[in-house]
Amino acid sequence: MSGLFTLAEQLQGLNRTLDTRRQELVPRSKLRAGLETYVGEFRKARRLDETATQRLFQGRSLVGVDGSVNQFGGNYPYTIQLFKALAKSTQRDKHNESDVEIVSLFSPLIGDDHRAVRRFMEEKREELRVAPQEDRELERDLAESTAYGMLIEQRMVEMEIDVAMDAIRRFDPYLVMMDGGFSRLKGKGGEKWDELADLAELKGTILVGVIEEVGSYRLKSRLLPEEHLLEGFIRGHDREILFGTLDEGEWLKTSLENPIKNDFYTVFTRLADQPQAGACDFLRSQAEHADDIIDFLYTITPHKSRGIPLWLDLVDAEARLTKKQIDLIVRSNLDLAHIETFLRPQRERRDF
Amino acid sequence: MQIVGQTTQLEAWVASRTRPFSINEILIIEDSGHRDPKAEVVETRTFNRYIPLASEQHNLVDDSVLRGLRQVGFDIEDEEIHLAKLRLLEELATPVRVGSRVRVPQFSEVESLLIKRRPKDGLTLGVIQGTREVAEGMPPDLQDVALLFDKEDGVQRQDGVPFVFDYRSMDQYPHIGIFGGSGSGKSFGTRVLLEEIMKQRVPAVVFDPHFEMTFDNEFPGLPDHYRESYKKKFVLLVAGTDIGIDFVDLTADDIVSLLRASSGSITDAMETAIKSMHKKGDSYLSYSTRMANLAEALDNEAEIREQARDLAMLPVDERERVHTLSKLLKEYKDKVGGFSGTLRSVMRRMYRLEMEGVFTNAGTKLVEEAFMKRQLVVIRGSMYFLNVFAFYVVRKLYRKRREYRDSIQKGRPIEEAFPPFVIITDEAHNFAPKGDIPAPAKGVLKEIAQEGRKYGVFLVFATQRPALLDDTITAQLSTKMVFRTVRSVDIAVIKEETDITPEEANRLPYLSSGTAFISSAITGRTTSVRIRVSKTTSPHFKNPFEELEEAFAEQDSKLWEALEGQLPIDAFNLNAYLTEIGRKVGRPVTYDELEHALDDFADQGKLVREDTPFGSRYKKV
Repeated sequence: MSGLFTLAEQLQGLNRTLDTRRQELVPRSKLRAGLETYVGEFRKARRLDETATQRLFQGRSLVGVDGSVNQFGGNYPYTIQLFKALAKSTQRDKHNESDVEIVSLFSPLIGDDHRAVRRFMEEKREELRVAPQEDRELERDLAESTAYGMLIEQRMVEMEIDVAMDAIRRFDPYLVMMDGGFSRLKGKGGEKWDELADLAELKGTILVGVIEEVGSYRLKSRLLPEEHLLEGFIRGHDREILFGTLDEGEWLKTSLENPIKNDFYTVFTRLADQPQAGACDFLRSQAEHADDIIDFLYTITPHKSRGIPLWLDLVDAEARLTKKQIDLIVRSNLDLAHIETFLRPQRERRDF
Repeated sequence: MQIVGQTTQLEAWVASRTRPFSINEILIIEDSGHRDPKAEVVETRTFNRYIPLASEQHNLVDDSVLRGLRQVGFDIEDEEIHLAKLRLLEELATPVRVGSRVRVPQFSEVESLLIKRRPKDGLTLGVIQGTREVAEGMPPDLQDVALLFDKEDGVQRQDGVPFVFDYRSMDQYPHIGIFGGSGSGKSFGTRVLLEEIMKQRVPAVVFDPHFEMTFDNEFPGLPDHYRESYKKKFVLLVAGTDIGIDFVDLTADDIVSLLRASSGSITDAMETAIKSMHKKGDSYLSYSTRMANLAEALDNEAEIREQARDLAMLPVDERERVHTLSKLLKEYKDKVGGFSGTLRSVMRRMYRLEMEGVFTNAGTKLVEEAFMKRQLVVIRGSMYFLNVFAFYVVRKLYRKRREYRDSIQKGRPIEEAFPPFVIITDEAHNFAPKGDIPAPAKGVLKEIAQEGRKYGVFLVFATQRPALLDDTITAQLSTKMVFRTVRSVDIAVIKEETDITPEEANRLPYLSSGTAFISSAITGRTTSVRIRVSKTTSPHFKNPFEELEEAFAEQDSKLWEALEGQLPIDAFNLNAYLTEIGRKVGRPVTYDELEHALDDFADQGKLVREDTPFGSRYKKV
């Protein structure tokens, strides 16, 4: 038990440090003034009434896109990845369908998948350099494992982009909400992402990436000219700077001329009661729609929620595979002998 | 619709995204390995995975958010998932196949299950719940035979398969119990059952302690084709006037139980006295005279013994009296305990019954006549009175029927023909109470419960308190109509005595008025039935408070009409108007009443009150 007391003391120490640092924080109004000077203007989103929403969508639909990846098993290579990507439209197509769903399985235990990992490793040899190990085999496993991790990410992104494109073709939506920012999609999706962006522009479908938690230092770098504004922040992460800085329904409309990210147009939002800010990514070509879209997103975000538009929350819930579902499907389709031999991690056997 | 989750050989869950399930509906599971078994919905649920229960983690979503999404084509209410628990009608050897499709059956597939008799040969009591869709392929003779009633919307069309009780199978599965608390629709259900019994022209006798069983008031608002007159199918008899107990028929034991029932209790001495003084074939007069004489003799015992020693000394007209009294003394004194008070108590009790008209030689003649015309006989009287009568009437009729049947069976000369019949009573627990509580009719009712079917005599017992009803009788009720029941002891009895499932038992306290579970050995299962609208109504169908309002409104409007012609009326001279107004109203009107009425009408704004130097003056508005 004494160990816990030691930990408690150390936590209290951390708390004191944070307290001291935060006392140096500049008043909120000054920080807001700084953001207005260097980043953009504060806007107040409005909740759209029925007619305004109709005018915006012109009868077209809304699509939300999300994906989930789940692991079953233990350490590489004794593992299975299960993917599910879902694009869900608020309206049905002529076949009375409203969903585009892709699922897939990925595991180093499958010959083809393993070869794909090896190939990927060859391509990214430089990035994947690992510390030399005594056991050469182990060294290779470690590298493969890292490659595998990256491939998983890439697969997931590709699938999300695939369902999004399919949904645009099938439902001709006015707006497609992606779960998460565009950087990840572009970074991992490469050419596929460009295809999606082209398709969206062509079809007049607006793409928006809804970011739940901002995770960059963009604002800090902008505020550098007036460094005193940054005093009191621990690291000066965007998340820290924006916490409590926006009012509910308020958003920071960044300047188009001086964008936060090079490839996209990003704005910072607070769509719900939670003081935590989020962000939205738009294609640069669609930046002029930001005002309308933010108003709409604000409209469909519950006041008491974590600040995610309800539709995306629903898609998220549906895209997720639960632990129970995964267990059920794996166990009813793989022989117990295989599961025990390859997949069951030792830690599952813990008694306590 | 599809079978989901875990199944057993008897139960399964079925899910649907589009179709809500109705409780008690019958569905077919397309599981060819089990020859497409049929199952009944015993529990239903609907949930919306996007609208969880509001809690700290899940706030109910703002309405404006849903409106926004609705504009772009998404209605959260469409995301419902309907679930139902199915119970198979017959147990299988292995569990139902998960994933099997489930469908609504065609009428022909379930006809034999739902319909045991056609409406013209059975008692059409109501509509089987959960059969709306199945009913679509029904032949015409099953349609429009059981209209429903709804407090808000009045008479409704029949929305399902009718429940037709196969009363002709009562020779195998006799007797009906009707259980339910007040307001559960029990009286309504009993009325419908009686209407059907009359329609089939089955002779029946109804004991009516609540004065509600008459059938000449038509139910308001029925469509023409559905109306039916029962006026010629029933007779109303008043206990003590139209029917009475013929004293000659009574045994000493009968007199004991009669007096016990009518007066609450009697002493052992009284019982001995009653029994020892009774002679077979006694009339009320002979019996009561004997008793009076003995009492007199006991009071003057010494004197009478003295006189009796030498009868010749007495005047002639006295001799006879003394002789009789001394004979009585000799014969009965020891048996009755020698105390005249005992006899007087018995006589007081008998005298009271006599005064109330219990002992008339009307007997059950009118009942028997009605039976011969295949009519339903309603016997009215207070609860205590009926208790006294039921015993006599039931026994007499039962004996007649039994003798007739026995004479045929045993090849004896045929007695006078006597039809089979049904005995119906509400508050049955008073006629045949559980345990040691005595009731005069209990013995004969128990006998009928056990043996009645041999002779074609059947019971319909309605009660709010099945737990208080005699066990032997409860066990013999092959069909039970169970309405809303709240008391747990009663529910326990119902659970024990019927094949009601635990789910159904849980619903008992919440059943809507007029819905009953009919558990019958004839159908072999429990059916949930919405009782049809009755074609007649009880005489006190009207709410008493509404009745009060209406009566006074009528009185007011009459007075107003009479007043109106006389306006303006001067208050100082009210007496002058009284005669004329009284004549118009049709009854004398007093000064006070008129003054009061004028003020009332002025308050209601029908009149204007004007102050003049001579007092108030009432004018037209």
